[in-house]
Amino acid sequence: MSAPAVPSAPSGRRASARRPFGRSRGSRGLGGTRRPHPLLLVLAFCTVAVVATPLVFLLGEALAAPVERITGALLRPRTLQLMTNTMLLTLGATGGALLIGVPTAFLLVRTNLVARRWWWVAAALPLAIPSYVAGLAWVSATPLRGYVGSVLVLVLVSTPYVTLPVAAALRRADTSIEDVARTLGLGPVRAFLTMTLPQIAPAAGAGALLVALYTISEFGVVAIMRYPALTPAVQTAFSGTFNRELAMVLSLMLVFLALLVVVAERALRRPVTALRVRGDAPPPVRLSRAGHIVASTALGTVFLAAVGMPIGVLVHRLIISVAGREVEVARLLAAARTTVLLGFAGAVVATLLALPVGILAARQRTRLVAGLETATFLGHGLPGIVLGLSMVYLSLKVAPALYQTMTLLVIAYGILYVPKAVGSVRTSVAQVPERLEDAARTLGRTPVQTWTEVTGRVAWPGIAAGAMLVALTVMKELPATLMMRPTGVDTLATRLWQLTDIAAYGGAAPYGLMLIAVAAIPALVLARQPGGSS
Amino acid sequence: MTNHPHPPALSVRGLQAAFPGPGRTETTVLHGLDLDVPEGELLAVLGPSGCGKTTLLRVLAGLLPATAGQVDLAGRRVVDGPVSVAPERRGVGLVPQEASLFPHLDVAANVAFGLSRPRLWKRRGPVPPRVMELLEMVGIPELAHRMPSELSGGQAQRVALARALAPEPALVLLDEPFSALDAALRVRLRTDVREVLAASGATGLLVTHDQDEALSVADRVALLSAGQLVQVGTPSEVYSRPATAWVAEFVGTCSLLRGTLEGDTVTCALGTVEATCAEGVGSIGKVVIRPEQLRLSARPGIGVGATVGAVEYAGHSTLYRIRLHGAGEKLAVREQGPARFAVGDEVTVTPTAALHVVPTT
Repeated sequence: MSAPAVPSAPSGRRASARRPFGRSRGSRGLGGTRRPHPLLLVLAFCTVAVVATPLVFLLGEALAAPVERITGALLRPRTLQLMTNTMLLTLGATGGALLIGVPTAFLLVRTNLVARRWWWVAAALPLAIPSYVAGLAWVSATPLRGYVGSVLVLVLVSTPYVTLPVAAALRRADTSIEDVARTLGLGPVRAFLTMTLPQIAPAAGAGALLVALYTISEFGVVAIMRYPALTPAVQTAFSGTFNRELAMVLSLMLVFLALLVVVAERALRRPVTALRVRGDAPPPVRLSRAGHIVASTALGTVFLAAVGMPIGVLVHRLIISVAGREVEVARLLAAARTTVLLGFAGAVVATLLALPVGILAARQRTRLVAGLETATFLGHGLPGIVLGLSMVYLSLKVAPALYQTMTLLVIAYGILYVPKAVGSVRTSVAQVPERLEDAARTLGRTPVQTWTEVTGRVAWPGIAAGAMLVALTVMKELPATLMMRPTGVDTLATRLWQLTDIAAYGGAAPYGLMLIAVAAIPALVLARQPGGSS
Repeated sequence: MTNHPHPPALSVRGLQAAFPGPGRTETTVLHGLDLDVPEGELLAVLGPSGCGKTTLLRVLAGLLPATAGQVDLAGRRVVDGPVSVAPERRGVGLVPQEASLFPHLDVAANVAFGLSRPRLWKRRGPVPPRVMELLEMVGIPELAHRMPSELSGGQAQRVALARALAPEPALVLLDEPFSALDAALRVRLRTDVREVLAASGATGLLVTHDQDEALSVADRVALLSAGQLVQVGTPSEVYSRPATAWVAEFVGTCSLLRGTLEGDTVTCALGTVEATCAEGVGSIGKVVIRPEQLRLSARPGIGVGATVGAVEYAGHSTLYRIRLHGAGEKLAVREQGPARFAVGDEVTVTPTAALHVVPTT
């Protein structure tokens, strides 16, 4: 373990922490309030270059490979089968998440269901269960495998991606037009379907696309469930057969599917319009006694399956394994330490990469900036397993010294989670009024000083909180870590995966519980955000 | 203001500015302004929203580049066409809308911000004498250690003023600083601000869309319409001798009647009256009639006959809306005290002073 745990980011990116947003100055003109500092633009381009490198490299390698090997890999009947399987899985998980998520959101927002506040947290909590941990629980306790098992686990863990935005949209929706429709002769159901449903459809669509993206890149669950989708096949081609061309072709197919979803999401995305002018919430739909029982039972069942069941199974396994002295305490602690270090290092790199783009995106609404921001979202469309593969091949070709080092792994985390970090930087900086910067400038501060003394100071807590969330997300990462980690180094996720692979469920249980603890923090934050005061 | 040996605090010549629109387009907002503000004066730039007054302020502060023209601050050129001095090197104070205090600094540190280099101020330490002096000047010395979130709107504006005055700028720009406050507070604060500016000897430029504010506070008022200065003058000048019908209507209630000029008199629906003339009036002009320039009488025979159409009682005065007999022109008449007439009463109306005539276009 000679590699340093803290990344040595290239100087250009490290500088971005100190580089301010600002305007050109002096004799070159003021640059206007809405013109970016050239340095900031350069740094943003650097970020995009770093983020795009793995994908561009993979594409280049595929194009440079012997054509017959590529076409051979592409035209295998098995390849078509894998692609179909991944698409079927995506359809199943997305459909299931919509079927559960939209009615859940309705129950949470528009009815007088008892203990709604509690149900609200319960609806977000599945986010605290890493999918492969849920998969481990289901595999160890039930005979479920394959397609059904994969879809079940994915639906359970990813439904909050639909529930939360739909519930938020329902709160914002203008229900007075539903009232008007009622007075004009529509029944309650038709009024809801024709007036309110169109208002929440964009949120449901965005949520569904998130689930789709999540499913396409999902590795752990499908591997544990032994479902032949693209992601485990990439892993097998990489580590089992060392068939470079096959691994690359399968990877690019994954990227293609993921980008398709990202493009669809951006095309369907609508600006959030706060339609309701009145502040008061509409009167809730009154559930009958039977309605209460049915709704509570349904929500309770989903919650038990998504959260209660994995935690229950893992605790049960843990107790058994503690009794049987199967817990590897030293290794567990070492893995936890590595995981935390890697998480924070990855978050720092992701945030440094995100700063120039996020600052620009907060202050500029030009097409160039929008393009740069979109380009960083490539990370969103890059399944972890593909990034891992690409970084491995890239390092072997360009910088073999970096191969299987912590440094490379941390850089990969940075690339993977830049979109998340951009979002938090953007939001935090956008909340600092530009008038504060104007005041600072007239009081004798240069653009750089304005950033360090005002904008950066005020935005810092938000940026740090965003970095914290990224760190916790990094700690759960499985496929890229699995491919890139230095030999002999465990993280919580990789060790859990190894133990699950040999069906050592008892030994895996403490890792699973620790990962749930790690993931619970961002899930609770997320549950609070759209909820506000309910 | 007598002849000063110093150059004016602010001198603007042929200033043009554009605002970046969508894509690469630019919308010209200021079309060649000329303006001089002598040292120690408070000038109000008055205009409706969208007239370019905020753009002017941003160009003067150095936050937006000009496209053409010159700006001199106390004899020092800060804008020469698109070339300009950065805001931090201009010595201009800015009091933004809604105060915009630095939320992470307490009141004293906000005021000291323009005085010190980074990190010279300390939280909770003793307040530097200069900062205390400024806080006393704006009347809130007891708030030195409050955070901005603990201040009321009026207090925040006082801090913003102290912060802007701290480095003794050549010019203080006030960007509608009272618009977010409620009416009573607004009146008190603007009087105080005027006193503070006078006491500190600062030159001020106040941007506003509120004519009451401009007329009551400023030494002179500059009227800005669609990016052009229409008139610059003392409050009483722009009120009683407006340059155009637009100015007449923007700075206060008035009625406009067509009139024919002949020597020093104008003939309109109210008869032939003594008149003053704005520049550019031909033989036909528009007569500006302020409500307080007319008097109503119940006795027939004197003046022109009219019918009372509406009565608006305002406590200290009463506003009548009347309709002249004949062509039916509508006029507003204000009288001190309670209403003497009711809707439908037949009255006669006479002008009590010389009337002002502006060009018809």
